[in-house]
Amino acid sequence: MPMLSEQDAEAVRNRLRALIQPVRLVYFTEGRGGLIIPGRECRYCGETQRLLEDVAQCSSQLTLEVFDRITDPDAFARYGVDKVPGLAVIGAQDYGVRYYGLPAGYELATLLDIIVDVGRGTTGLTADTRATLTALPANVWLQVFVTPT
Amino acid sequence: MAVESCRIRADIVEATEFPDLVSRYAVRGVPKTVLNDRLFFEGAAPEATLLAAVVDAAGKVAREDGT
Repeated sequence: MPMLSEQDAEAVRNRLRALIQPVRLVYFTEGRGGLIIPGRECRYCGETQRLLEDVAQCSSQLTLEVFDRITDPDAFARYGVDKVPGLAVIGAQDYGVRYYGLPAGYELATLLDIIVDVGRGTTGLTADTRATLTALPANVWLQVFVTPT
Repeated sequence: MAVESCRIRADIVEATEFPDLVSRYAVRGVPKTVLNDRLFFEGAAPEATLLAAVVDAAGKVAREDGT
């Protein structure tokens, strides 16, 4: 059963019309094959994957790849992902953008914005901001905590 | 910002699914931004304000590294 209603899917398709370059949704889960480590059940991994499958069908530019922590631990290390459900949004390059958790409610719009920006390889930030960011003297790791409503 | 700079990586974390991180970073409201695991920024902010926080965080690392 789809996670997106037909009305929501139409809204997603409309938003993703701005996507003119390929974007890979690389999804990280655990327990997909029914193998579950007691005490480490991933409550939202199944829902997140179904939602991403629905989103991926809304644009011919999107592809979805799925890795399971139990069977594909190397992929987790390769993408620097340490939590599930986790998502790497990859465009012409890996910009280091990860989304952890189920992007439900308003956060689906956030994810769509990320996908479009990654596809374009640029953002709506001002030229001054972009220049400052390019010239940063050291690395910065941002963790932004959100909730779905 | 991560799209614009190879110096930045960005994790968006759905707070209710990761209570250990909520506890570690004392997240009591959202959005809350943690910069380099130690600087905190609470609430939504204009672009310039967030940029200033990012520049501050990068400057601290650069000073510590002596670069």
